[in-house]
Amino acid sequence: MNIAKLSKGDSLLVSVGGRLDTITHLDFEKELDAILSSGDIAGVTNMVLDFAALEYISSAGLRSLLKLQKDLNSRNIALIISNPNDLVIDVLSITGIDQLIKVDT
Amino acid sequence: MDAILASAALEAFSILLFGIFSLLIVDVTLKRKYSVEKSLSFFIILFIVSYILLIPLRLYANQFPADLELNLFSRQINMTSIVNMLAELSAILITTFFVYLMVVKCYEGKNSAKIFVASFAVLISMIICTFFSDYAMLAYNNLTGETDALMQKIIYAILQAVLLIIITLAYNFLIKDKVRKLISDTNGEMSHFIVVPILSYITFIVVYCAWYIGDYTIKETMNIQYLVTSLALPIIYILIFRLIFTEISATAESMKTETELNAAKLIQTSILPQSQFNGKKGISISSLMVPAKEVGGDFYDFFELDSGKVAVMIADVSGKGIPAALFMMHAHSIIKHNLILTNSPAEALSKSNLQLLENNDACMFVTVFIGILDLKSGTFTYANAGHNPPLIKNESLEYLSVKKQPVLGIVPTTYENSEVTLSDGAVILLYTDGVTEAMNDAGEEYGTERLLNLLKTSSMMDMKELVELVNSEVNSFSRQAHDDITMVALEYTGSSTKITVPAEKESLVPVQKLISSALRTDDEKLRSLILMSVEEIFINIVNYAYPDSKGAICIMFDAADELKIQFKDRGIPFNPLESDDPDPTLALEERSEGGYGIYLVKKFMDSVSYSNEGGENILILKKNLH
Repeated sequence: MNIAKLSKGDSLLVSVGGRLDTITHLDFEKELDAILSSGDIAGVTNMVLDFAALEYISSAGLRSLLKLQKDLNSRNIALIISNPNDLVIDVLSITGIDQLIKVDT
Repeated sequence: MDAILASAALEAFSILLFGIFSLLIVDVTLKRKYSVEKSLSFFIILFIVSYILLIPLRLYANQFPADLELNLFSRQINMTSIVNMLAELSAILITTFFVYLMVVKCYEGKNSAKIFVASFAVLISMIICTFFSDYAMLAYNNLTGETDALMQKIIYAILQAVLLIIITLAYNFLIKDKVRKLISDTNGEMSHFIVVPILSYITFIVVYCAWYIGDYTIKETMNIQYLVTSLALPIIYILIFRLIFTEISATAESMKTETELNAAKLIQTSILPQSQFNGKKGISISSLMVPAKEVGGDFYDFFELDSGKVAVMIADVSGKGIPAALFMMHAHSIIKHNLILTNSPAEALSKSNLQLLENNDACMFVTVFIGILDLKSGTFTYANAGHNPPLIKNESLEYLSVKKQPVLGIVPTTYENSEVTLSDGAVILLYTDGVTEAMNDAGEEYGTERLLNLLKTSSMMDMKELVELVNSEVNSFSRQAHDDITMVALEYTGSSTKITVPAEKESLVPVQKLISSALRTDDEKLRSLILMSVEEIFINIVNYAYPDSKGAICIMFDAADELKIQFKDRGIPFNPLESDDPDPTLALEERSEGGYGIYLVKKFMDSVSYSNEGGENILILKKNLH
């Protein structure tokens, strides 16, 4: 898994590539915690998770997304998932997580 | 003043004499690291430094008032003898240090060997310097009536030198070779034995110092008791040392033999297959070999032949120990070579038999069973040269019927192949007689009946469990020292692939890779869905079947038109399909973070089923690949 971030005014773009699964989800959570506790988050109202390069997600990854959504809710930051592949779209919709997190296809 | 200084210098020199001769003893025993000049200059520097340290020490001791007594705790303590003792002790320690430093710095070999030789040399020289020189001196004084103190000291030093030369020569001719042999027997690693000379050295110093305190003046008269006890001590020393020396020599020799035997064992086991067939389509093999103490004559092998065939063999060489091991290495390479050449068990046996017959003056023989499994058809072709028939579980569990043909290496003969067709899941257990001939305390053998019944009544997740089960049963039956126990168990899995991995997260990636490589589909989404389902089930087992313990997960899959993946484990019985599905309509605050994995699997797979049989959790996923 690899993560890159890019700030654009009040929007923070985080690109996630590779796999988000049992093995990698802790790294994902750690990276996002680091971003959320750094100065980058000041004045941000939108966080966009760019999943264009994300090949694979499993339930461990879903848990990380739910945790992130809860955390961002408390900070009044909106979370948007953009460019997920077919598998990720299916997984998000079957579990109804697309009802909780905005998915931009 | 001059006389006092000269006296102290002489005393210091006579103490250093024992250091010099210790170094001579070391020098004839060990190899010098540097040139003579360099070693000698190092020696001279050390000698001068020690000498400079020793002279003031002697001056101080000599000028200390005679018979100074102190009243300590209402006891009269003779300070003079204590000071003399301390001066003597310091002198000995300084000299010893001088010797050690020189030896460690200027000689080759491991430190433990160097310290051993140095301690031994110091001990010999010290005994000579103290006891024997004293007696020689007393004798000289009595004979000549010499009274001049300085003259006495000169004579004393000369006497010491003469005695030390004699002992050094004696060492050179009588003991040196023994010490050298000891060092070479232990490869110079003498840390185990180093304690012997060092302890002797310390004991000697303690006794010596105790005498100093005890009665300093006793030397002046020829006391017969003193003579007898102090002569007895070194003699006892020599005897004990001689005994210890022989003992060390024997220990070192047996250690050397053991090291060599271990090396031989390592060479032997290195010809065995290093990996099991775990995760190969059509076959799963696990082997186990518990060698008896010495090197043995059992061996086995399995390897792939061309055109989708796997060869497996097991053998047992007559006799034990090094002859059997040597014959085994020879036989193994011949048989394997012929098997690869002919692709036929019978032909390989016939050819190998002739080759082994040729130069078999020792009349050794080997029993061999060879089988070749065609992974596509399940045909198992085998031939047997006097080996005990394997167990087979095909339609039923029984001993495989084999033609009774002679062992290899005795008579020229032609071997014949037999055939059996294996159905999916068929198991063959090859073993050597170490298994069935293991004896209990009542003298009964484990026997073929017990082995058959064991397999009849137990269920095995995989071949590794099978060989481990038999091994533990045999071990609990027979607590005596046993012969080599050697087994090879193979399972024919047909079009399926079977892999067993430790139940831990890290095993997931290799399992996913193996399944992914077997999937023949261009649909990347389908591939990801399947791998995700594998992950969810696998992690579920790791978390719930083995929450705190170690265990294994056995995965068998068949990626034909319909993909079928079976997960087996022996963990806590747990049916993941019984847990409630998460409600996808709930709001974020009402949702739990877990429970999605199994739900996703149920949604994506065509069928998911769970059962618990014979202590195994069995979960099966099915998915049509079209």
